Amino acid sequence: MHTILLVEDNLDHVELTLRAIRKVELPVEVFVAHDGAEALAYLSVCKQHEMPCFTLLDLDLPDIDGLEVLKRIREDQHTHYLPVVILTTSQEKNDELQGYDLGANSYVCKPVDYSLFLDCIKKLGEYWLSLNQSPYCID
Amino acid sequence: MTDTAQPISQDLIMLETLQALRTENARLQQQVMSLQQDMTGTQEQNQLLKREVALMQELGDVIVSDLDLDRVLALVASKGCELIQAVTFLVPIINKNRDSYTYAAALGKNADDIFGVTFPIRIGMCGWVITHEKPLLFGEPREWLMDEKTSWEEGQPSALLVPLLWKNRIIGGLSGMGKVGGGSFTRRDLELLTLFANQVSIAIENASLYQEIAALVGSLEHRVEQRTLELAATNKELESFSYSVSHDLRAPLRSIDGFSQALVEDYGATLDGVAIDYLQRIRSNAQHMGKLIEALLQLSRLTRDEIVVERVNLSIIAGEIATRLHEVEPDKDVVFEVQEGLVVSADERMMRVLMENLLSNAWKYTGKREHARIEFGLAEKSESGDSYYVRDNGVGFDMRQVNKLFRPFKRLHSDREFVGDGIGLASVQRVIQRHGGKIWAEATVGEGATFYFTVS
Repeated sequence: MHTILLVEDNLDHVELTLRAIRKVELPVEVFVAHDGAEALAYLSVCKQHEMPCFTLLDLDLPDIDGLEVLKRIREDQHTHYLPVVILTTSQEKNDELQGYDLGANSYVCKPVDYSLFLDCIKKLGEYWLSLNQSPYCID
Repeated sequence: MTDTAQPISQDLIMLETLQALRTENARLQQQVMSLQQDMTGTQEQNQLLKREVALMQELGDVIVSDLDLDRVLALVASKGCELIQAVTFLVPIINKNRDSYTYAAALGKNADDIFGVTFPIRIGMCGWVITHEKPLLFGEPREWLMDEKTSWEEGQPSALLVPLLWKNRIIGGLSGMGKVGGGSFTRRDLELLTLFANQVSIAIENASLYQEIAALVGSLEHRVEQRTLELAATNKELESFSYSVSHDLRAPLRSIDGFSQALVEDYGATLDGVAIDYLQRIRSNAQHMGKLIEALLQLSRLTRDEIVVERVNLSIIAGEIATRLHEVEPDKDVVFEVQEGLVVSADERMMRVLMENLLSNAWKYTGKREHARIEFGLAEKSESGDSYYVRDNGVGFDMRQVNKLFRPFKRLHSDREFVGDGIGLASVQRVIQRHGGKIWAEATVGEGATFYFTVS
């Protein structure tokens, strides 16, 4: 089974995202990191074949913020190629551009309407799990 | 210089000064020429006169060409000293409040002790010259150009002082104390120093005006810099405010909407119709608030985003919007009339927001009306900026409410009649303000509304 890493501090959003993943029946295991440090710690002990297919990264995190987490993922040879999807409520152009500058693979805004969010999770799963060739996932 | 002084008026004073300078120079030139003509007498006297005339010309050229007040004053002292061969040469200048004078330049014997010292206006020979606005000469043979009551500073064998006048107003004086090699200053020295004083007045006034202007420009630059910093700080604040609105206010809404839907989907079997209806209401309110937040964010972006000015064809934009509106509601009976070729210099993205809001409003408020008509065109050509209009024959509004029209979240129609977020016209006004233009509206209830705007 594939793994994805969800980096999200808001427990409600964690719950809603996990529910959405169940609801649209993505064939994945989800590792939830509630802050940046936990995410980086998790990745550092992952062997290459255990790496997540992709990461859903929130930007507004309590300790190390999302953009910093992304920067460290790219700087570390071990995690350098990990696909990172920024999933955030921020629609700030600045965040978006900075995200891409730091090597984000995608930038997606979380909609308020949960039906739209379900659709968004479905499409992300379809793309990153089956259509896209992920550097660490072997089928 | 007071804070309210305008740079324009300073420029005028400067111009006036330069004009006066030219007139004064011409007059001096004439004096010099008449001096030359007066040169009769012995060969020796002729030689002396020639030297003086040449010196005078040189002096004039040198001192009026410098605009640095301190340098001008130092130059005046050195040239004046040379001109009348004084042991000590002083330049007293009246201070701003006009009740004292300061030795603004000093040269020769004891110069260091005197330089920069301030005296009350009535003290000393300089005080006498300044308050009487008359020259003073004493020495041998006894020449007293001074009233009997005044006593001299002790130990001066000879002194020569002339007032410095600018536009009939005393600004200071020139003072020579003691003739080099003993002896006395002469009437000839007095004539020369008087002539010199004319040029000095101009040079000093010129330089001090220049200095004031430079200080004013400096303070203006400083103020502009400060305002820019303040503005940048405000912008930064606004940015972080928007960020937190965008992120922090939307996050709980997502949870409210998400869990409401989860309840309906996961526990719908155990909920009755009313409970499900309530949950739907919660969701629709959360989503409505989400849209309001979005609209607010758009408004704040219109305030802080940088304006990129380019040629923008409003007619083309209007045409595109009309096409799209027809696509969304193909059954609506609306005719668009767009005047071709209306081009403005403005920020394209913001102009799209403007036209989008005005035309969508017109579309919305023509409602279900048959033969609805929406026009966009040029209202009036003007040098201060052409005005354009968007006109519809929809429901219009009561002109008594017109001042509420452009306020955020103020709506003149209820949501039951026409749905809206109340931010559209506020956005329109923001766009117009940022472009330095104006917007106003005219309407009649039941007959339609016209919005006029200029983009300066």
